[in-house]
Amino acid sequence: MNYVKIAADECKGCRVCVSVCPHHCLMIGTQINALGYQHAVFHGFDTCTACGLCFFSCPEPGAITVFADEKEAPHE
Amino acid sequence: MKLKNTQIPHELRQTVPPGFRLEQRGDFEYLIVESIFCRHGHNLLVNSVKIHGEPAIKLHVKIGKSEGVIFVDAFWGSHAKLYSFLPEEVTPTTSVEAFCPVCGTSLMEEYTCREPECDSTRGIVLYLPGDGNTVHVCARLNCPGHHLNIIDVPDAVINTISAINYFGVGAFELFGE
Ligand code: SF4
Ligand code: SF4
Ligand SMILES: [Zn+2]
Ligand SMILES: [Zn+2]
Repeated sequence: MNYVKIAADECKGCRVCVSVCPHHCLMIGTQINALGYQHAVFHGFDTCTACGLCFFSCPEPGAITVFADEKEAPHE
Repeated sequence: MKLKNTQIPHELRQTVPPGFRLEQRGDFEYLIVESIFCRHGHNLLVNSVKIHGEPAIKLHVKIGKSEGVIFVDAFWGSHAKLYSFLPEEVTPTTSVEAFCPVCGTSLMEEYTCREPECDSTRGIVLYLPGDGNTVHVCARLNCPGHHLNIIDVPDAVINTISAINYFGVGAFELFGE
């Protein structure tokens, strides 16, 4: 499966990843991070294609990590 | 696509390419772009927006159905940036179209991307000081491909610099400040 991890405290809630994802896998959540922003959250376990568009578009390198063809969902 | 922090290769200390300077920040050395132009010679670095404390590279871009200005980190290999707009209607083959923010000239050229999984034939070309010295960046939005062309700098050094692609994690962690 493909999925994306958001490092909540690196995210500034700018919505660029939400806007670029062709499969609507990302949204801005309701939690506030250490910087005071409502950060992005991933909800695309069935639809993410690991295309990397969110990763390359995110203005904060380090906020997004893309995992492709993983055997299991992440343990949080 | 995990975070990585590429060390500046030793041979580079002897041959810093034109338009760049080498600077120590914390425990690491970084190559910083300090002169970069459109084909008509307009300076693309702006003092009004700084990323990691350095003037950012300003470009006018079209991405998908949207357009506006982006500011790109002058630290070589960093992908930190600022957008003035939200890119919309993007697909995995969407390419960025870039223009000089001063004169509006297109910065696009034919370019054969060297990244193994990319078949892009379009690139953004930016000019460095010195005749024929350029930086090419793959236009595909989800491709990190870029290459330097510098006359008078050995190919080995150019290839090493072109391979640098580190992803910082914000000013504090990146520079240990
Ligand atoms: S990798 Fe592609 S499909 Fe997956 S969340 Fe990012 S933009 Fe969406
Ligand atoms: S693009 Fe990056 S900084 Fe902006 S909301 Fe998405 S994860 Fe956060
Ligand atoms: Zn110009
Ligand atoms: Zn490419």
